[in-house]
Amino acid sequence: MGIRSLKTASISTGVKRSKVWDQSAVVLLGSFDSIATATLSSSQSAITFSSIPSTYKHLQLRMLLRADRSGGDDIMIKFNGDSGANYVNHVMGGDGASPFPYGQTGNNFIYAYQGVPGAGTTSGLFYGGILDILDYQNTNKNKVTRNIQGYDNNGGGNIELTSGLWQSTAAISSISVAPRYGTNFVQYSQIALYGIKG
Amino acid sequence: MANTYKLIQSFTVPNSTTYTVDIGSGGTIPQTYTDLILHINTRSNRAALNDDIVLRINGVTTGTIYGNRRAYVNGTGTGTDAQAGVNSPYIGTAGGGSTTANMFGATTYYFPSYTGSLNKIMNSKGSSTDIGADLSQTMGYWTAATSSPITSITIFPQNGTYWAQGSNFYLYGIKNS
Repeated sequence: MGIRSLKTASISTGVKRSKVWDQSAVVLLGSFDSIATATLSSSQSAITFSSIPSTYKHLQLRMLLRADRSGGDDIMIKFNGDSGANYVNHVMGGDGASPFPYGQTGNNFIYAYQGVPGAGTTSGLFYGGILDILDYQNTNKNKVTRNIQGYDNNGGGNIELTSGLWQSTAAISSISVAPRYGTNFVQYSQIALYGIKG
Repeated sequence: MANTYKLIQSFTVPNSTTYTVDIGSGGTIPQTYTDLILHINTRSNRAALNDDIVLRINGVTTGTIYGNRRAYVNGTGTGTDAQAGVNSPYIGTAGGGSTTANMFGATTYYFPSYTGSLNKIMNSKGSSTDIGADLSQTMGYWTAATSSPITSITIFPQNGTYWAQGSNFYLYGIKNS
């Protein structure tokens, strides 16, 4: 588990902090650390990781998601709370019958196109996605994401490699993931954030 | 978390004169892992929106041991291509010198069983999304017909003559236990 900062109070008084990385020191081995994991105990409109540690070189999100929209949904990813038209998306995918490319500029979020199963799909079916963000702290680079994702509904589904661009050189300190059309991710949806040291 | 994913070597281009990047120069990649992962964030000086990336192993520059297959998309169309029996296989995606300022491509290479005696294989996922419709992403599969373990990796732009300042390369080892 990553450590963002050690707070004296949490050690001397035993008072638990709101952020897991504020609570205790953990010996880290290797270069791939779990920073935080959010698992929904009930439906929720978004999952947000804030105060992301600056001690890593790359980030990875591992996502298991299902939305409550009938038929399925896209997911929206935003950085540092930016909702401006500063995002670009490209998709290369297939649905078992036809390949599909897709591109979108001047968007308000990075998205996973038609990737998340919804209320009309098989119960217990979740989307799986692994999204990489290389060099997320570099203030001389715009941020490029790469996500391989998909699901299979035993008769429907898709597989996609998606690219996202956030036209900002700011270091990424927060990541928000939300359904695009539906109102919520459902119970048991999960996103794990990992840091990769450089 | 178990010590199964560990940084082996990194390199950041200090100025725009670096053409070839050698990871494990001299054959120094440790043989103590199961797989290798190489994350690169690169931009070349090619006068275009993107560039391809040539990847060789073990300093092999002659012969015809390399081959690859790619699928790619530029936002409006898809394509696929292949190379066979070459010595400069291109795989992955870098930003080009004409793309938006501060744009770098992001590519990850995965080398399973790199110490074994079977032919070496690798898959890649690369993105260099530009603001407009550009060759934005590639999936690739690469092979090298050699029984030798991978002890070094050489990367250079296919068309450009150097990597832009700030391009970086991170090699990690993964253990299966």
